[in-house]
Amino acid sequence: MLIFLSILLLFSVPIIILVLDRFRVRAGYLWFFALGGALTAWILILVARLQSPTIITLMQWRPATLFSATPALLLDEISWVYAAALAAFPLAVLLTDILRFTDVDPQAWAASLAMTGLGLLAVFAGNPLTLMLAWAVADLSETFLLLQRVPTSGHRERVVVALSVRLVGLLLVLAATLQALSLGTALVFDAIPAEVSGLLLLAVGLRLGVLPPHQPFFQEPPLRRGLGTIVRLTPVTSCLVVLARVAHVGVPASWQPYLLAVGVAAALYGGFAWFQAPNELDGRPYWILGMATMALVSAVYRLPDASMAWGVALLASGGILFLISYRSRFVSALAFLGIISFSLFPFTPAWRGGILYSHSGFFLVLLFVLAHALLLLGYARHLLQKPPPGEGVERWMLIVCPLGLILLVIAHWGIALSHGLARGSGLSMNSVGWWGGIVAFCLAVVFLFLRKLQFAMLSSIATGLRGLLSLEWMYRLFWWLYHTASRFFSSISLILEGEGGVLWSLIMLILLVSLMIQLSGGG
Amino acid sequence: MSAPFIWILLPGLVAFALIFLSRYRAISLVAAIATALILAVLAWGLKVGEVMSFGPWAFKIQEQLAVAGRSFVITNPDRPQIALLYSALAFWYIGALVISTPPSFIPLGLANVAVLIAALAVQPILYAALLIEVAILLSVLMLTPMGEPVNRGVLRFLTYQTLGVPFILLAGWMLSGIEPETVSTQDIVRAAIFLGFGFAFHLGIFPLHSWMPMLTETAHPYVTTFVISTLFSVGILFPVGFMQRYPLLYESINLLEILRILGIMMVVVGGVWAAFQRHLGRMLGFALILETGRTFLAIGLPGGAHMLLALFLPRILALGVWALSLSFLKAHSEDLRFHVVQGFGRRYPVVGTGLILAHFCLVGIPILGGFPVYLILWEQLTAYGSWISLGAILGSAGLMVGGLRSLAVLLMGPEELPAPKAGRIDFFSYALILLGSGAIFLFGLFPQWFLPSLMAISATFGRLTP
Repeated sequence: MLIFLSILLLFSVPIIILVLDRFRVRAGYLWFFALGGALTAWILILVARLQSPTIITLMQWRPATLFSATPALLLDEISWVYAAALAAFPLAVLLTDILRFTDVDPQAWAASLAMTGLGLLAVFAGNPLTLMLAWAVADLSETFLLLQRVPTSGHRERVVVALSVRLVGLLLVLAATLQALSLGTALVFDAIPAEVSGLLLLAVGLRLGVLPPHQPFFQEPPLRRGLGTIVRLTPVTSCLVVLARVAHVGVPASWQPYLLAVGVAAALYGGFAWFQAPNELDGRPYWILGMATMALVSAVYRLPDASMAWGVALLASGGILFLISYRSRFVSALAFLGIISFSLFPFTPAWRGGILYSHSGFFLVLLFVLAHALLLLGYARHLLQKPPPGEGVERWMLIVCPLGLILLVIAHWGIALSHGLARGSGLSMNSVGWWGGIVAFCLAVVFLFLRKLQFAMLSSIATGLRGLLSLEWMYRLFWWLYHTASRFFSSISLILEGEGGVLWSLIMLILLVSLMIQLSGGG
Repeated sequence: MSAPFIWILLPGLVAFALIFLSRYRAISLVAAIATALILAVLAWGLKVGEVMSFGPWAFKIQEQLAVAGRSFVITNPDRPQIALLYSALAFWYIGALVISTPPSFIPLGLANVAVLIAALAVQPILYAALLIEVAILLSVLMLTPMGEPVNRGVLRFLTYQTLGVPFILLAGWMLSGIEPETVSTQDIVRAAIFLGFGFAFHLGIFPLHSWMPMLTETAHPYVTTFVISTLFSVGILFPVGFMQRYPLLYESINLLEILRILGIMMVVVGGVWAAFQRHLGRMLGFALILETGRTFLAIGLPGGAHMLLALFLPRILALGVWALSLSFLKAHSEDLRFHVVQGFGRRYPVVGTGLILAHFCLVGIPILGGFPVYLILWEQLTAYGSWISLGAILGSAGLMVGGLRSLAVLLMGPEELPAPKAGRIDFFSYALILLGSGAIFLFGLFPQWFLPSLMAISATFGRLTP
């Protein structure tokens, strides 16, 4: 019930904010109101863990005999971990928004809260039906939100492309549901049949931009740092939950080599591009790509804890960097904690993510460690590029703003400690998993100190890889196929709709009927 | 007074009177809406063949009306269908309040529905074909405004519909005088084949579907969608009724499987072709083909006739909003080719949103009206192999690609759009599209409010109960 209340709160507070904004209530009051709503929602989510596991039926779709499932929310360990991480975001965004006082926009605060509410609906989805509904609501809302804010035709095109990819992912979940039914079992999250887990993984991979590696999100600049971060990370969170659920069953053995091959490519591409991006906001899609790939590969290996460790690190560590808009000693220290949090060092929040290295072969470990090092390196590089606080920033702002970052750090460590993501069970000191993170970190440090060398070298490698891994060639091939098919179908239409179309139709009908008679064994 | 008089002759007479009111569009439209609504309410409330009393008056509505040796029979189980047909007519007329349609649409729309009900009610069934042909000719008059040449889409429509009539006539002739209890398997299969061919032409079953995209490309989108959807709603009742009258068919041929194969073929054809269209009108045509396929898939399920009405409501909602939006776009641009309507979604955001939502509703995107019903359909199809439900999703995927391309076209284009062909769209038009879009969401999120009652009504259909 608490999760339901928190979601309800995240939807109702924005409506009140928008109404009050219409009546020209001072932005300061609205900010406090939004902050109160976000804090209450987060606390409700944290306390809700006491009720885990729980299923809440949202409504009963009828006729009950015809629907194999009905919309429901599921609170369990997996959904709670991601929900607790996601629910911290509006709070962090509101606190850090203080520094971006020139952008005071109650509508953006309302949107942040509502988007988080939508994200929580998807995170708590108790079955594929609810997941599809939540994804669809989120996709359509996000598309609507983005289309209102993007300035050019090119940007709008990218929004539509992003929507297309997500809708295909949605159809794949539907296909998985139907395939499970044709196998004689209803698809539920606590017992995913191995035969359909591949389809689910494909759906999630597509939505995350991992399978095949692509940018599911359009370029960042038109979006603000605060709302933009929530808009970007919310759909990712709902996918990471599914990954963790699929990780309990893994994928069919025949799928594994292909998924791993694409996973390696995606991780390296994400790492290189993240490191090479001009700033962290431009690089955000690549950060998501790189980290989500690690979570996905963990799911392929049937490592739910590792998948969650990588997933939560994607959100929390990424969130810290994306919300920082200036660099000071204290903020740098917090950001350093962000780096440490996904370094996989022993006793750090993502430690269990290291199990991934224990399960991979030597060659794959090398590549994954390299990708990990690049992600660490990029993080450090983007942090070092941050400017000092601008003029006009008041002292109280410099005190309040880091509170948002502290909150994310506490959330990450708290979630990890409570769920055991920072425990090293299964990782002995002589295992690759124990050392993998340390090696990656050292590699990143070496690269950082050999800055000139590695910048030139990595840039050239990245440029080379980008041509191959950006998959432009694949999209060009796809478009060629599409246009060829288009010409083919247009020709048939031309024949059927032309002067002799009636006769052609009749000939086709006769052929079809005779074919059907043959197939049914008639004479 | 007889039931055929109330629901066939009376609307026919009103339609005739409306012809003379054509000059006063608003008056004739309001009169037509009122007539359709009253007839729908009467169909819900009046009981046929039973004595009914209102205060001191008592009367009985007869089931039968004899005309020139033929009889028209409307019984109680037929009333829900009649109520739905007139409700649907009122729905289409309400949309016409905010768009410009040919003057003939108002009187002939009413006449069309009355003639189609006559086709359902006529005995012997042989004459149904002739009445359907009359309805088709009335449709041609609606689709071709006075003084304009008949376009190739309408011509193709007329050709295919007329080609189907002899087959239906032959089937009717074979069955006249034969009772279901005494009919032989050979006779029934032969009649079924003729009837099948007849309705293959009539309903645009692949490969006889080309008239649908041609019609939606060339004729008025709103009138076209009304014509196709009305003809289809009535047309589909004939084969279904035939199947139920002669259950021997199920035993002699694997009818349900044939229906499923036909259905999946149309779903795939409609969806895949939609993915490659570059004309918003043609896109609607292929969506209609896909919807026809879905209906066949539903009938192809044991007891699936109960789903007809469940499929009917989201379909008519989506088609209504889609056709309304297309009509606005057509009124404000030269035509509906992609390169002409580029950027129109930015100029008319409500119209663009309505069009895309309606399109996605027929795709089966979750939270939109079509999804709950299609989900039931897809889930039930899995019992016949995953290939058939995956084929159904492939069709939806194709239509989705078409929808996304339409969305992209409506949003892109030059930043500075050329001057519009017509003026602004008024508030009521926007309100109607928003209302329709809201209903699409409502049906998609809360199917429990609609589906149980719709399925219960389906169960009372005289001609549809298996």
